[in-house]
Amino acid sequence: MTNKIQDAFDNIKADPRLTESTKRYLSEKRREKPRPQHHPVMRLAVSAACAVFFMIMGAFGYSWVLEPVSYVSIDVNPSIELALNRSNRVISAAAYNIEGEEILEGLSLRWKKYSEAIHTVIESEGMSVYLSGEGELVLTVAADENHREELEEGVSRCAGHIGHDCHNENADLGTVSQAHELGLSLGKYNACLKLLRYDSSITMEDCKNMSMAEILIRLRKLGADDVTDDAGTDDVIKENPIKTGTDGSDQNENCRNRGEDNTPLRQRKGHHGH
Amino acid sequence: MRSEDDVNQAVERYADMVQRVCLYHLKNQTDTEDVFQNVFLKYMLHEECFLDQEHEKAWLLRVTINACRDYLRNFFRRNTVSLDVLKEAEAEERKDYREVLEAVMSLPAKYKDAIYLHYYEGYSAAEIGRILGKKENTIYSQLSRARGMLRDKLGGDGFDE
Repeated sequence: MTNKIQDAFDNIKADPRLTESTKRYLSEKRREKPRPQHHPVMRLAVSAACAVFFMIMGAFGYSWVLEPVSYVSIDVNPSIELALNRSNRVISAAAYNIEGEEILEGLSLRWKKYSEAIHTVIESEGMSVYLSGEGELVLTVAADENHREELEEGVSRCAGHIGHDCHNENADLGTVSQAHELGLSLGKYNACLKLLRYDSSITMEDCKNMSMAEILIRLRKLGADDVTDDAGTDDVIKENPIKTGTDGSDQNENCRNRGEDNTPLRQRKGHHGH
Repeated sequence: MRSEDDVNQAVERYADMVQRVCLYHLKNQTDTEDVFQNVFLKYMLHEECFLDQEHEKAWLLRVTINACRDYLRNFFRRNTVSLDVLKEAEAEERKDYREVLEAVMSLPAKYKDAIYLHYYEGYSAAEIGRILGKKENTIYSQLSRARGMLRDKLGGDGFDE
């Protein structure tokens, strides 16, 4: 039986065609250009370069999508501020008083085009209470050079289409951080600056505690014919002829203000417009 | 890389041996051709010198067995094994040889290697152990079990140590 195994295997021979084709295959392989052997340091460098590239792309993508470059402030009595990315889409919505917070509650604004977001806020059930009477809506825009023209025109159009007493303001982008430091929305801060120009007896702290409506009324009383004038372009600082001064304390009771810190109420609670 | 002459001589010298090992592992002519060519490609690229022809043969046996095992480990290959090579290549062979071959090929892989290397190539258990990277006693045990299986399949008492 052992011999049978030997005989059985003896009968197995490689096909001559296979040996010939193998020789040709090996000959072709021999002529193939050897793949370049990359030095380990070179490979490491390439890997590092790729990693850096993806990090840069990631950072660029982040800044493109999530970095706020423009702001639109919606102020009646409620103060709401929309932060927009380079595509003019809302990346966060912040309430700067309790009224604003109540309005933002339940609204989904994130990634909406600014115009759509403005309409969503204005048409919301919560906002209708403030706009039904004599409430005056102020839309304030602060944008960088690349987006200023488009946003200012767009918000101006929005203001024209909204069926309420509405006007739009343009502010310098640099004022946004100043407003936030004081815990104010861009729109209210802009209005405060204007009031301070007309009435030197009023301090920013006083103004901060007033409602937006009250600021606008005071501006009108002080003879600011067009309360929508850009504060930065208003050369004439008028003294208060009737010295209403800081007697807004009583009226301030109607103005529910934000907390002691300067964080927007809604952001402080960790809610952003979704 | 080895010279073309070296490689061609090795192909001529070991083609039948590589074919046999591929045959009892793969049982399929197409797969056999793939592994056959890869074995000699490895030989061509192997730059270390062999001590002698025996060393070279043992190296090729180990490489062929490993190449077959790797090939069979492939999921798709595992599910497409057939015995067509026997039908194709052995059609002209004598029936009793074919019966023996089929019996050997039906053994578990580790037993097939031990049987082929011992009964055909004439290696001792110690030498097979070195080629397969196993202990000598393991090879004895494998040979013993394989003989028992062949006896059951083929009958007779011809399988002595």
